[in-house]
Amino acid sequence: MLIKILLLVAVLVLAVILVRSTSAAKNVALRRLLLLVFVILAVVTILFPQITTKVAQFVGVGRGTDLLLYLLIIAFLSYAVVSFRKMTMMENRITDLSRIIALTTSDPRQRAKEIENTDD
Amino acid sequence: MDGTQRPAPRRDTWLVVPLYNEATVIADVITATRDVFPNIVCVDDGSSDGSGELAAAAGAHVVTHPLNLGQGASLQTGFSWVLAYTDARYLVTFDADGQHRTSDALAMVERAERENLGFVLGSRFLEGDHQAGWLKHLILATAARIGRLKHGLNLTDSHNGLRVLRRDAAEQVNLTQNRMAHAGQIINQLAATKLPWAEHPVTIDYTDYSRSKGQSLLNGVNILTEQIFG
Repeated sequence: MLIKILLLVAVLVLAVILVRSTSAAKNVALRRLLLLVFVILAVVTILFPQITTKVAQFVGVGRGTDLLLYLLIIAFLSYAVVSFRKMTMMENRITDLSRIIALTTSDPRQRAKEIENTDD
Repeated sequence: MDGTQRPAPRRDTWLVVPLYNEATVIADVITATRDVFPNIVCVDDGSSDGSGELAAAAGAHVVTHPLNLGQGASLQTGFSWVLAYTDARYLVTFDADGQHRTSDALAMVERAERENLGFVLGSRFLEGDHQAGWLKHLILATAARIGRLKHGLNLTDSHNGLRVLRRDAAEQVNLTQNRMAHAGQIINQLAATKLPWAEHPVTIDYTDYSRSKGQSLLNGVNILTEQIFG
């Protein structure tokens, strides 16, 4: 069935796009474009609900709502992956920042100077 | 008159001790270890029980994380500190809870020096009895075998906290795994250095205290998954 092929391709393409590290700007632009596409699709399906059923049957799914559900699942999984990656990146930045603070406040040469100064 | 000879202190070696809430034992551990290893840096990972101050009072250098980040992050901070501020020839990762033996650490450093090794990894399972229990041994041995497929090192114990890194090996380590996955990551990175290495038998002293804090068997699930998918 056509729907299976389409969904599999969509999942693979999204996986490749989302897992590879592209530049932040490209990522944001891509997500904005996808958002735009989603909005247009949403508006069209709201105005012409029969379209979902026609498209669904064309790809081999029984009902329009079922098709929407499949798309929603994919959208949700992509969101989860992106979210996880962003969280990991943020955790790394916090770590780097904490390490800089820890190393700066523990400079033994600084301590040696302080000890020297208090000996006067 | 006792026949035991006190070994000379190793001034070319720095111990890196990740420290998180070990106020009850840290002073004793530092004091006992300083006889052999006078250079100790404790990385206080946001302890709330005054461990940092106790370690400093016992004679260790203390580096304090402003937030609790994890053992992996603490080790990396320790490495960065030693490489930036000292001319250490060897770095030793050493636990704060008294499970590791100074004699083992010394034997490993001496072996690294004698055989010109880039790093030496401790192993509980190389010889004789170990106190780990059969299930723990099975999980760790399996993890080590899976690890061998990934990084190529034939280890009997890939999750041992006692390690000796020569300076050139430590310079090539950059731990980004903050929590327990660092154990696998450090092995991968050390393997990638292609430096000569060895595994050395060590004894882990499981006291009631350290058993209560050690990794539960449930963590075996995490260890194995990280080995396969990490």
